[in-house]
Amino acid sequence: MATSAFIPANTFLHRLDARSKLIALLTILAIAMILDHPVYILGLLGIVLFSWLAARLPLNFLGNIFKYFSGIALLIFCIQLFFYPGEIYLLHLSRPIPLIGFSGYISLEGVLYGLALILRLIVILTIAPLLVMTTPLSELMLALVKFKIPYRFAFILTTAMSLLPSIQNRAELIQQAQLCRGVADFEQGNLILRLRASASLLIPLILGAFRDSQTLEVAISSRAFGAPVQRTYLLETHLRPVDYSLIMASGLLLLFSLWIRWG
Amino acid sequence: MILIASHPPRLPKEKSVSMSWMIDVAHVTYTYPNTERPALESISFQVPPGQFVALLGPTSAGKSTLCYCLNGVVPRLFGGEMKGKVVVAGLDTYEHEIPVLAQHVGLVLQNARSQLFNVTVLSEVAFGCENLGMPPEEIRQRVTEALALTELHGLEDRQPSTLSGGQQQRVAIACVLAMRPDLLVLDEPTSELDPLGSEQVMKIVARLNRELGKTILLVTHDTDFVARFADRVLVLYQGHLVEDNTPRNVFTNQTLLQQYRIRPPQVCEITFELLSRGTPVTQMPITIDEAVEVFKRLEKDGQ
Ligand SMILES: Nc1ncnc2c1ncn2[C@@H]1O[C@H](COP(=O)(O)OP(=O)(O)OP(=O)(O)O)[C@@H](O)[C@H]1O
Ligand SMILES: [Mg+2]
Repeated sequence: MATSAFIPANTFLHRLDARSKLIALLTILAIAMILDHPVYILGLLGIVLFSWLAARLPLNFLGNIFKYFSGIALLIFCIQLFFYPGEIYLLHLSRPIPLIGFSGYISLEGVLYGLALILRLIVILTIAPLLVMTTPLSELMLALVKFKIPYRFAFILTTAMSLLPSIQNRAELIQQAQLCRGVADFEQGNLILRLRASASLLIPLILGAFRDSQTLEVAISSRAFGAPVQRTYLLETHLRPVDYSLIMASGLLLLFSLWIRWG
Repeated sequence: MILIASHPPRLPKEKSVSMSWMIDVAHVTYTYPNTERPALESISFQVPPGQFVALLGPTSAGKSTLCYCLNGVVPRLFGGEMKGKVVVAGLDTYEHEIPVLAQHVGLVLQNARSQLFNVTVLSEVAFGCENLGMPPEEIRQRVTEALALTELHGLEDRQPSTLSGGQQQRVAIACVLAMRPDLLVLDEPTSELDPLGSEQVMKIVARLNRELGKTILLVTHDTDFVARFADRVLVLYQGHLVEDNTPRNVFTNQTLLQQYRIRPPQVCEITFELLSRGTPVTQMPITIDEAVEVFKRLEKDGQ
């Protein structure tokens, strides 16, 4: 039973302050957007994968990401391959077809740009889990608050994240219950049958979520949420020298990539 | 990049003005938004400090709604139309916001899972005090105290969703205890628990009343427990307060029990059965201990 994305361990990444991790994450995302040569982005991906290993996070999760997104990645790659307006021709396929914007050639730029897009996608998909799996949500929320994100917003965001696994659990439960009652299998039959099956899953899920959200609202208000005072926090976090180093390194890396791009 | 928040004064705990009743509900009629029929109709009752009151009634009687009235979430959160007056711990729920009332009234709900939303038991229990702006040292002290009262020490770092139902419901109780309320309102806290979990929770509730003198308003269908520990029973039926009496008078009144669809304690059911078979039971027991006494005597008399 998945209860939360956080995977407790005592690694370097786990010990870092959520703030410095958040800064590093945003920096890597920014660099992945600024630079568009695949080699650079491959470098970023190297950093992400190395951190993944260093934090002893499950590799099969990584495998799942690749499995689920390989189709989309391939599609993106092919689109760039055929339609990117490059100058260095690699392969001549046919006459140009201006109607759909196809030049008739596959260009080096198209290949590179396609690769860059795929790698970018992988960086984006793998870096967020890296943060959530090594940081308890309470620390993440505190980091957001310390970055001056309003408490209400930070609370809603982290609570929603923490409730996701339980919604998933319930979906599985309802699915099993419906199967027992003989409602059509969700993965078999024609489209209409499958749609009906999905409705039989979604309706109890939405009703349940609605009822729960009302309970949640009562529970949260009953515990003085939104009292008109400055909220305090039991949890304390401190930036240590490694955190400052990470933040500095992030800054330098960002400047460096800005220089590569526009310098 | 260290941002130190300065702490403006925490939310003060309003002192109640010369309080003779912990709960004073007068002529309350409440209708939920977009509904026709009032969920509560001209409800009036008073509860002195320290009393243990059980609230019984069939489904849809308005029990939860009455609980919600006591800490202001009805009508503040739900909206709707409310007439009458609710004064809790000397504070009128019209005049005071929910966070102010939360320091006097602790509300525990039926479904443990959906009232716990923090990552650890520690942050869960600290949540209320943090919202009230208490200094961290004080919060730590209160959390320790609340966890001790609910016998949860050692579980601080556990994720609430990984605990047993009984433990989760005790966490929910600890969460409101940390705000040190005078009144605890518990809305069917054990109806989703197994017998062991219920026992754990009810034991704590009884102790909070007997040893700490907390006023308790408990909604439950566990009449065996009510017979043992409650001082008083209120019966709600279709939004009306139809009975306000001692547990003994309620549980020995077969007509009333049937009329309002209340299942009496098991020993009462057995005694009703004996009576219907003509056994001359002169004194109706309502708890197991009493039943043992009564049946021993019957045996001695050769019945
Ligand atoms: N949010 C709401 N909006 C509209 N009507 C509501 C709402 N909540 C409850 N009601 C209605 O108010 C009436 C009383 O409901 P309430 O939940 O207080 O009953 P209850 O005695 O707690 O029942 P149960 O034993 O099922 O918990 C019911 O008719 C119910 O349908
Ligand atoms: Mg109810």
